[in-house]
Amino acid sequence: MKPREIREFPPNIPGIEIPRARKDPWRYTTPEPFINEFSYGLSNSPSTPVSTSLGVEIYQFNNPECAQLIETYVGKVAPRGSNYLTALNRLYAKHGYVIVAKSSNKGINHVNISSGFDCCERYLIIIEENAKLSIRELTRSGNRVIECVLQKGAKLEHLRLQEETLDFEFNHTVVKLKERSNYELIQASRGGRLRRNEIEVYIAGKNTRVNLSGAWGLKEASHLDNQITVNHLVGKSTSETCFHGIVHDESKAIFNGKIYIAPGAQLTDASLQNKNLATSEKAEIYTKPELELYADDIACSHGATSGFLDPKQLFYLRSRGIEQTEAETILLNSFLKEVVEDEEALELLGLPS
Amino acid sequence: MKLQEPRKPEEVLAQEYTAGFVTNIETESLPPGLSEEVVRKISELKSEPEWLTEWRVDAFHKWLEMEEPKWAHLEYPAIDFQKISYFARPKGEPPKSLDEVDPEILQTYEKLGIPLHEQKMLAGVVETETTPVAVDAVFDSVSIATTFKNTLREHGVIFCSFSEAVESHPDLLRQYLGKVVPIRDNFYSALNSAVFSDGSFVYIPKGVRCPMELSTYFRINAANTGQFERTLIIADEGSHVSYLEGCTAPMRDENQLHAAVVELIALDDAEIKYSTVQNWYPGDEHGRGGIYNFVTKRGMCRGARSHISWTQVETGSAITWKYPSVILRGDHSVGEFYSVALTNNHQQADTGTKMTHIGNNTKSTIISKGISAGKSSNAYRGLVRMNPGARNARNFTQCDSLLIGSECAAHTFPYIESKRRDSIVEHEATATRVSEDQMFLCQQRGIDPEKAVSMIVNGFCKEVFRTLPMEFAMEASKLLEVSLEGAVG
Amino acid sequence: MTLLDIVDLHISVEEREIIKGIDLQVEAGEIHAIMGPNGSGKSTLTNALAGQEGYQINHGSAHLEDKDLLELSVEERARAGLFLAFQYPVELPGVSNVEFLKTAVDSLRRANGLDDISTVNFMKELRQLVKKLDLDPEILKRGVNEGFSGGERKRNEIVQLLCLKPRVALLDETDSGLDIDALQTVARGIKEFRSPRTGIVLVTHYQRLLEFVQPDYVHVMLDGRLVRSGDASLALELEAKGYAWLEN
Repeated sequence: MKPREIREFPPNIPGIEIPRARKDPWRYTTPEPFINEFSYGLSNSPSTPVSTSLGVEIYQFNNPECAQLIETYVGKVAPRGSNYLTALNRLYAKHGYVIVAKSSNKGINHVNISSGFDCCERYLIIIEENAKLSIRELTRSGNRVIECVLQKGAKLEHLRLQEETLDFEFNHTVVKLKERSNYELIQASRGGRLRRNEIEVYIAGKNTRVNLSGAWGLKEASHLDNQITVNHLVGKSTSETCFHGIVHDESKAIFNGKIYIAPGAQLTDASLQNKNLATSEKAEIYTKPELELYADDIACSHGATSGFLDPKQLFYLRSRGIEQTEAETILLNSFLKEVVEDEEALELLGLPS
Repeated sequence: MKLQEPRKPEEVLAQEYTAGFVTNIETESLPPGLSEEVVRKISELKSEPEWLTEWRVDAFHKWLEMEEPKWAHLEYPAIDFQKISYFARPKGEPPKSLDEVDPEILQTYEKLGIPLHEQKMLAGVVETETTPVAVDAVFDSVSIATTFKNTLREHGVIFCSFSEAVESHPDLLRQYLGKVVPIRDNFYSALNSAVFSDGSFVYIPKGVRCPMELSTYFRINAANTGQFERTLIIADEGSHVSYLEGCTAPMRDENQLHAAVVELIALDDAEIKYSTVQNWYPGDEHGRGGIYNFVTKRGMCRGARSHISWTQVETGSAITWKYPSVILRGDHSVGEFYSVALTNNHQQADTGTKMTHIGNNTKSTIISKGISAGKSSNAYRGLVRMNPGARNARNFTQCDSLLIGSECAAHTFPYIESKRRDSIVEHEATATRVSEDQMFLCQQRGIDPEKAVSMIVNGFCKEVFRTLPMEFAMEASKLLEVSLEGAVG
Repeated sequence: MTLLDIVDLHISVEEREIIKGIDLQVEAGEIHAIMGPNGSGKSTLTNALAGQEGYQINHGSAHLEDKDLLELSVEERARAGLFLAFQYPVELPGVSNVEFLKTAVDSLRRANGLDDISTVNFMKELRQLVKKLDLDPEILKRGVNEGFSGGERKRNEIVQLLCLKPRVALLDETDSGLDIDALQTVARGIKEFRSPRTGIVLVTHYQRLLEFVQPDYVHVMLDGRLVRSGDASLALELEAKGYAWLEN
């Protein structure tokens, strides 16, 4: 992939509007720094995928061996979207990797992806039929687009750890599931100057299962924006989405979660929850759990809350002799632990496991 | 051998619109088209004072600069604002009393079940033990009659048409008009501010509990005419009022525009309960005709401990775009929104509410029940905002969708914005359907499919119907039944 | 007099034949028990008789007195006097029990050319019934089966049975999931329904209920057929020897 010569910036991309602040889906996060302050085409510090598993093959995009895969999948996992930042990524990505988890290995394959800095890059991840892959992804900054395809019976366990960063980070992850496949995401996030995660899941096969869970603890003036869409394109599938977050200081958390059920996708079971706690007068919470339903034989629910620590619970702990601040810590920690159990994730969030 | 199968709920659904007749009277109306001249002409026809004419003209110029909102989950062809007539009224001298009203028009209201004769109403009191309701009847662009004015006057309550208020209560009007819904609030509120024709005006003085329900009944009759009414209700300190609004229109093949503005103001300790049963013509089963309903309704809890409650039952209109909202400014004020929205055939609704918490200890409750059937689309759109000053503010939202049949759509778009640490917002939503098992149970017990569907739908809406005044609750429940009943295939 | 007359009935679900030819005659005043292991087709038979969607009748006939059940819609069958006590009664959120039953009673009365029942009389009778089945009268205000325990649902089915007074009751595993006290209560309700004018078909796979309600006939269903019929002693024999005894 060659970055094209930059004539005008930001470039006009036919059919795709340049996003504007205060307008959905950029109502609470300004897109401008992702476009103008991000050094497209300049940074040369990509992330690196590493694996020692037998069933994993990793190629750079320019490797002719994976030309066919790139041709088939890149930019095509999701129905062509109108995401400007993703389109920018397509124009300027300097680095790209293809990761294939082969059916030949019956056990779990592992891949470790460690973030670089400020880089515009792209991943294509293919999990072959009945193969299992576990990804541990450490993210810091940059514009990263990941496309995943789960073939029949495949399983992907995705642990995403997002470090505190002073930079911008834009993650766009698109996951497509075929029959009997299974995707599990655990995302633990610290804040960033501006961090936005767009996660799009397309369920294209029956008897699939998707579990998305995440937790965040934001401090100072950090800003985290999660945009999650679970698309049930066919019926007989299950998705569960659950995110809990705490905002301290002057931080801001945005959560937009959407369940889409296509016409005819009967017997879908989908739920989505987002709970938020604020510990400071200046922290802000924006949440929008959406449903868009075009089928009737479904079980579907969503919920969202924003609030603060329950004084009754605090009182209960203090009445047992626990200090106020310690009691608060216990309750805040347990609030995040309700959704995330992974040790590394807890460590990143600064929680005792 | 053929097994008789129980009927599916969607087969049972069919709209039968009973208010779709046309009243044959001579109408005088302005020719279609909108310009500053038309705006001035409307004002002139209504013999308005200059300040109001200028207010309208100002609104018209603001409207010209504004864009039609496109964010709603609605699809409809562009509205040609030059093809609409902005003023229509029955021909002849305006009636001074009920006796002078054209008998055809009186009959129209009788057919619709709206009592305009105080005597009959009062006679009815003995038989049915219901309390009388004072009615302001708006026919196309003008108010035809307002009943029980004298009884209300004894209590100091002002209830009259908007036009009359311009004449007799200009100070109150100037003080409050456009204060809750500013001209520029949105495209349709600006349009309404320029061309509004009539509507109702209510003022409840300090400490008065309004002795009866007040009600406005809107009827669009003329073809190719838009209805743009404006309602302003002011509840002074410690007062209380319950207000009902009903609307119907004839069945016509073309779409008609209705763009109303309702402003409510509650001062300290005042309470306003505003209930709507919206039954505008929804169009036929192929999606032909029907009212485009673009309405801006907002209440301001200006005083401490004030209380505004919206209840709406929306069964009509081809397009519904409506978000009755409350600004909770006064400390300890309370805002409520209870809604049942039923869409069938090709109807589309994008409706919900906005609760803006500004004062301390403010509380809001949202209960929304959306029912989609046929090929219709029904969206709830809500915003709950906790401003930084809203100490201890609370919101609870319950938002449920009921789907009937596999071709309809239900959506939920709830925005929650919290900038206040000690505020609590809770939002819950579910989507269910009328299941074959439920239908089977009812039918096995001998109940008709029609009755079964309407019973299940009524059960689904129970929490909202409970908040309606008694007679209205029955009407709403009956209306749902009518919307769900009828031509079974 | 024959109340329910089933002749050589064959029923399929999704192209697969489940009921493979059943004959059953229920005379007025009789109690028939149909026993059989899970999956033998018991619920298929009762649901199809009541007119549940998704069952294809391939052959045979079913009459309630002189009415051809198979030609009637679900509610017409109910109005003809057929009652099905559901194995898993469904919830009707927000539809109160009183409203539901009054609507059902009035539908039946109207079908028979009668006026609607007076609310006072109806409530009086209903309260007595609820008490008889050891249910809290508060249950009448709640939604049909909404938040009911399994036992409450089953007892509520019997309340409906006694309230609607059908000619023939098909009770589909009304005994399952009940503790001994509830079982006795339900049995009391069934006995109250029993009369020289009514017929009862008890579907069960245990003989537990039969200790409290003596059947006149016991039929054993295996793989969509009634393979053995006898009197109450057959149930005891079955309990002792198990279904395998009849499988050969």
